[in-house]
Amino acid sequence: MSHTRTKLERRARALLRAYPVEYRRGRAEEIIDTLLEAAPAGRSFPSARDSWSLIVGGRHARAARNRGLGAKANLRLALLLGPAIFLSSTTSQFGYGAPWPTAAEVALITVAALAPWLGSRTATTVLVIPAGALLAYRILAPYPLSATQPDAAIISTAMNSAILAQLALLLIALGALIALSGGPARLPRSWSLLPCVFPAGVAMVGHSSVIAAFYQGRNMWFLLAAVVVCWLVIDARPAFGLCIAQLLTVPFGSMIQFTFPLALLFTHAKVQFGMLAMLQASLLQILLQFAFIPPVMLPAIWLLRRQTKATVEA
Amino acid sequence: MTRPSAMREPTYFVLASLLAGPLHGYGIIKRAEELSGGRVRLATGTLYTALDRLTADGHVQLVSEQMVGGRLRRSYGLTEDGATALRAEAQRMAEAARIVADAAPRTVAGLPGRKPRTA
Repeated sequence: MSHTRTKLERRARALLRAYPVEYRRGRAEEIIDTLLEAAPAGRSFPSARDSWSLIVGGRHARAARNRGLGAKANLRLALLLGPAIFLSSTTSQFGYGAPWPTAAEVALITVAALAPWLGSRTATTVLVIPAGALLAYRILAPYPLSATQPDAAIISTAMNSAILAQLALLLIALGALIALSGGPARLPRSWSLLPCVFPAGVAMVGHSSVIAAFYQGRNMWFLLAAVVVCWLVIDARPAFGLCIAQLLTVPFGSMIQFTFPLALLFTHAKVQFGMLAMLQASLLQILLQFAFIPPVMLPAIWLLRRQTKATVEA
Repeated sequence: MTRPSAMREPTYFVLASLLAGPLHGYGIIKRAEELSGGRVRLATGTLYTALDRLTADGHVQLVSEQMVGGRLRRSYGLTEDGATALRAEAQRMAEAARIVADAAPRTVAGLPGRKPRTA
């Protein structure tokens, strides 16, 4: 009996996470008490009605809190998530497969990407500036291809424009983190898991063949998209942030994926016929990346507007 | 809130359940079910959403807090404003009901509710 009670309680507490943390602080114990008292003896799962009512109640509580924050603060929080995800995803992918940024460097840039969670602009600036300097150094330093590789010269020429674009975007992202951090409303702690997905994936690639296989291509982005789409039920802001990150990633990804095969195609067209297929494949991947944005972005904007409308009118 | 609109049924029964005195969460759920003849079964989340709104509107007020079995149990009571709002809603529903109850229905016989299907 007491065993099933604790199971039920544990599951009810998990459902209560739909509510914002400040609400749970005042109300969680009371709601759990009511739910346990109302549940028939021997139940180990909250009923479907109760579960759904808690999710809907959580959304109401979050919408009430968001209205209290104001549209501007909500937009700021949603926008902050974009550069944070972009930074950690981009630098993590450098780390994977390329010989240069070490785990320590990926970690430093990830910490900089997570700095806005400290809630202080000064702290963010202090963490972001060395990360920016490191990025600039790493990106502008000669691309360390092995000397024996015959295409090294061609590739590095082709990479020049892509490298500059990449550096500009990364520095804009770092600047945005500084500019947007330190507002009155703190970033929800759970959001910090989203930018952490990429470095965590990189860290585990070497240890698990399943993760290594999954990490290829855009899978990580689809995983994140699935998470924030589920999140839409209670909060629209993370989905909005993810779309900002995608918008930053797409031009960067396109540059890299086009310049490589293009350069090789024009110089070695006769020898390397396979390059055409490679170009088609990268075009498909870019289209796929663009296709991912509207279905997530549109409902996110609509929900974000609805969640914050009351304050704009007031 | 700019104008008083019709009260939602769970809200109405939460207020009605407090007419006889303050109750705690599960007490309200049970009482609402009794009063409605088993029709209104408040889910936990629905109850607390209603209580939040009613507290913010000043219709309901926290009356007491006690520890029961290591957990916090709060009791809520009806305020003067809450009682007034409940009475106004009951009045509104009674008037709406009277329109139907007092009317001698003149139904249209012979007219089909829907066009008969051809072929």
